[in-house]
Amino acid sequence: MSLRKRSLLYSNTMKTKENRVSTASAARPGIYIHIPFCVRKCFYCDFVSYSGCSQEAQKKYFESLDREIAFKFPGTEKHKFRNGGKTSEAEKRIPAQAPPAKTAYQPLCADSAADTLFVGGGTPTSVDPRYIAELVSRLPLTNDAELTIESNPGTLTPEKLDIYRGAGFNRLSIGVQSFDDGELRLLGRIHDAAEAEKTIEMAREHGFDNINLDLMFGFPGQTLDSWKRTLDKALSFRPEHISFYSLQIEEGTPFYDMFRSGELEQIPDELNRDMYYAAVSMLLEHGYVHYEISNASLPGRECRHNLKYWSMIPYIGLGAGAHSFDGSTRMSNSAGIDEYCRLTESCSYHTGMHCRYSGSLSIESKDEAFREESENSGCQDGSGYSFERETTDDLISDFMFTGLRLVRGVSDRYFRKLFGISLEERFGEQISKYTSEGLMTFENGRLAFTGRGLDIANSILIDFI
Amino acid sequence: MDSYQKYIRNFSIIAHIDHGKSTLADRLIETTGLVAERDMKAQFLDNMDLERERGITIKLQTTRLHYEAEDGHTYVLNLIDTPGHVDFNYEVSRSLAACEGAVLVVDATQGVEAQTIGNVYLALDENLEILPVINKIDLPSARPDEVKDEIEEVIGLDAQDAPLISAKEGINIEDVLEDIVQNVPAPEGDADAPLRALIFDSYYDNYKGVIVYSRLFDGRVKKGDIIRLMSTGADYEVTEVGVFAPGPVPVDLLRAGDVGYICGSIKHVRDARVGDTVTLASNPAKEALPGYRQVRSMVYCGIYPGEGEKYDNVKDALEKLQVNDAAFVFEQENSAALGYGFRCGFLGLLHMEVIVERLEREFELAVITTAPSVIYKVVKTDGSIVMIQNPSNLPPLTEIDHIEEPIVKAEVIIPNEYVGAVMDMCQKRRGTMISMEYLTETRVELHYELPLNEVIYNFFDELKSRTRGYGSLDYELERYEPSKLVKMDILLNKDIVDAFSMIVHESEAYDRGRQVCKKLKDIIPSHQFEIPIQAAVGNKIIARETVKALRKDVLAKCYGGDISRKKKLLEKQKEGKKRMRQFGSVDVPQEAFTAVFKYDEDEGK
Repeated sequence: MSLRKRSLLYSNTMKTKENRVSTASAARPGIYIHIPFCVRKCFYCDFVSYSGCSQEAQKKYFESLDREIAFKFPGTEKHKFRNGGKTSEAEKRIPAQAPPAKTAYQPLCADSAADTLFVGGGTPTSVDPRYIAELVSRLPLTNDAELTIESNPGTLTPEKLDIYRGAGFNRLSIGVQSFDDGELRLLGRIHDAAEAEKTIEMAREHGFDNINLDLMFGFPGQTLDSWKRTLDKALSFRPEHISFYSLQIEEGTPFYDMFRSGELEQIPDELNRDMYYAAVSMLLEHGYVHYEISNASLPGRECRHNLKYWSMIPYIGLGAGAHSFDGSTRMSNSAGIDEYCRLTESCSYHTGMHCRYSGSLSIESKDEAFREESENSGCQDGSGYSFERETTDDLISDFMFTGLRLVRGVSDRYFRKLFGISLEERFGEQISKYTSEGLMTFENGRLAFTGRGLDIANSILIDFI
Repeated sequence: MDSYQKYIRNFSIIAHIDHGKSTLADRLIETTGLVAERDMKAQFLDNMDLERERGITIKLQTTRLHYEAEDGHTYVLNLIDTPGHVDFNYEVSRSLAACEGAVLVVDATQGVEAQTIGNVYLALDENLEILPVINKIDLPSARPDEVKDEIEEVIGLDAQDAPLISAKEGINIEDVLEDIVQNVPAPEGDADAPLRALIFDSYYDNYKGVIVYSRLFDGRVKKGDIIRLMSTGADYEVTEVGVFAPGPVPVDLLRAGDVGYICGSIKHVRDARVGDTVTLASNPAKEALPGYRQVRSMVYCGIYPGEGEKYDNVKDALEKLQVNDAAFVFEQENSAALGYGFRCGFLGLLHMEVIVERLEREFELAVITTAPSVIYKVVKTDGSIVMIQNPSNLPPLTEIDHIEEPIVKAEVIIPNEYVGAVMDMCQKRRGTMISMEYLTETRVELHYELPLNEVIYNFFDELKSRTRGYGSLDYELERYEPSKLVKMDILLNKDIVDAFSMIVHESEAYDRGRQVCKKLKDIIPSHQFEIPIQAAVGNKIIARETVKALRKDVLAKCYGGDISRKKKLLEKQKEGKKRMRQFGSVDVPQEAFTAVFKYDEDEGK
């Protein structure tokens, strides 16, 4: 069977239970909602996020999100799936074979409700919590779904926490970054260490038993000792999950300019790696599982939503700049808030979406249909909704470079199932080169980086894309 | 002088770069109505993009103008263009030899500059009448009177009556034409004597074969004649003679005093050598015209297809370039590091750069050039002699009795304030000073004997940098001389990369080795492993640098579902790697090959 045919099989895999891949959760899609608002933009942040937006603008944005949900999940508005955190009758009714028969638009995974929701930003907790609760109530989610909301210390109150809990959120991610006040100021954070501690305790008190702390290392001024102190402090709360990111200097951020002008200086790579290893070993000592380059959790507490990104599972993105993947095509919404809002109002958005998915059966014909439609339908280029055609080679690249981020690596069995070819057939040369150099391991049907391999992952990944 | 010759003027225009030579030529052509204004490309004569861009002339252009002078007669003015660089001095001298006069263009704002003087000397060598012209008088900063004085003081030419013009604005162009008519001598020569025509250029035309540019000093030539080239003795039947207007226009006859072209059944430009004399087989001249010199390649380098480039495409392009460039030679060679390519010979470094740039621009080829090298004479222990222009071909040390290197006689003309700096530089480059003379109060000519290999290693760039652009250089091959030369190899990750090998003087091996290693260290990116870069003479390592292993190259964050952006970053990284050249497991950026041999400003200090 040719590669191309296999890939078609792959997109079907996502829709039929019989062919479902390894884990049960893997087959269901995730939903991501982007909240592009924050109190103040941090110096390193290049996410789609805007500070100082009026109440009016925020309200308008949530109305747009509403329209996008109505459009992407037709028929769901009747149901209140979640109600005050209690399981309702409605919940049991999902998923029906959702799409109305005559709707040409095929919702991404209409036949299965999502089992993860991630509300990210920006700072989702900086806006009126009722907006978010309202949105969540309209989404098709399974009753055991993981619902995460991102937050920053200084934006949470007991009232807000109760509303989130009531809306069904069972996982809270807190952007702590550091427990050193000087460092927090340098990063442009709005909170201090004491506030972060208070926030964590408060979250615990309000029933969040699945908490992630975001920590950052490798920024100027930080020392190995101060980093270890931050880790110690974080571990003292025994969060279920810890993300530890090396600072990345992104163009268009204040940090970028400061580094370019020489105002700030990058720390040496050696020190950066020492910090990374310190984190990994401390986390391991405390019983955490290091499961992704920058993520560790207590056993069984991996972030199920993020795992989808790294395992080729479809996800539906809602909101400005949000990305979606339906198993064969990657799409993104316009990143500008105004443009995003405008497009959800105009019918061209709907038309555009509508035709982009009409009755396409193969990747190729889908792509053609997209192109034809965008040329003919008056939903011009730059309608703010862009998509990227993924060929089988693209999908294989994605599979490798996302999957290899996981410490356990990629599974040969899963790879064969998706692409009809074994890892060795496809990447034999690379595998033997990198395993012999001690940068990768290929054992028990899994290809993975070694510790040293992870450090220089990009230089290796380019041979797999 | 007969009545025919009386109304002919043969002249060149000479100038320092950017003083307006080509603009004036354009204006003369336009004023005499040869080319309609709408057909005028800026700078008509420099017809290669590269020439226009660099402001230098590589290929000669020649054109015939008709001018009705104030005396009521119509004159034929033959404008013979000259190339403008030390590499092409011989061609310049032959072009000038075809003239009786030269218009010397001097910028009214800048005054006399290095090349102004260099060109004047070349013209004086050919006994030309020199007519100074002050250009750019339209500029607010023009100072024509001072410049006139400068010309008189520095060069010793009477410039009081020099036309004051603006070639750009078309001001006083007629004055130049009148000046030419009145002051350039008419050609002389006996139209009834045996034919003697000087070849000053030639090019290949797909339909006509080789078109030989020539100036007739004696005799006549017409279609059907059998001509003989005096240096080779080869005979050809003339298929067409003509003049340039500016394209070739056939005429019935060319005679003494004329400038025109001759086409015969000549297949290759190298058969019609610049400086050679054309005569008739039936009635040959007894003596050739003076000044002929066989042009030899002085500098060699390897040219290899760059990454993803096809060998055959490079070969085709080189063949096409060679058709019109008798001084450019090439043959196939093979490098362990770079695969199949070509060893190419050039007049000098500029000639080499021009060819490489033309390959890149006109033929859109990606090529790698290796270190330029001169030809060494290797005397083996068994007494046999081999000429080597590729360091890789050097015989094993045990078989070498000694090596000889070419020594050139160099003339450097500089303003006197730079004498110290230039002498210091020549000293460092193993030069021997022969003499020094003051051309004027402020201009000095230094005579040196220098190893050619020192001259081709960025001598010109360093000279320019040390004299703020005022230094000019001319050199010619003098002799071969035994010298303590060694072959220096460069090892990447312990393997010799032959494309980096070079022959250097023993005393310089350490310095050069260090420089090359350092440059490579800066250019070669970090790899997944540590890369030693070593310079070695024989088995002895004389310099070493290390490219440290990559320590960290990982995307911290990859979520939010935005896979595409991260993937693009990786794809970009991959593209960058692809463009590099692989030696074993080491990726070397292509620019490394040229960078290693480029002169750095801080190097000489």
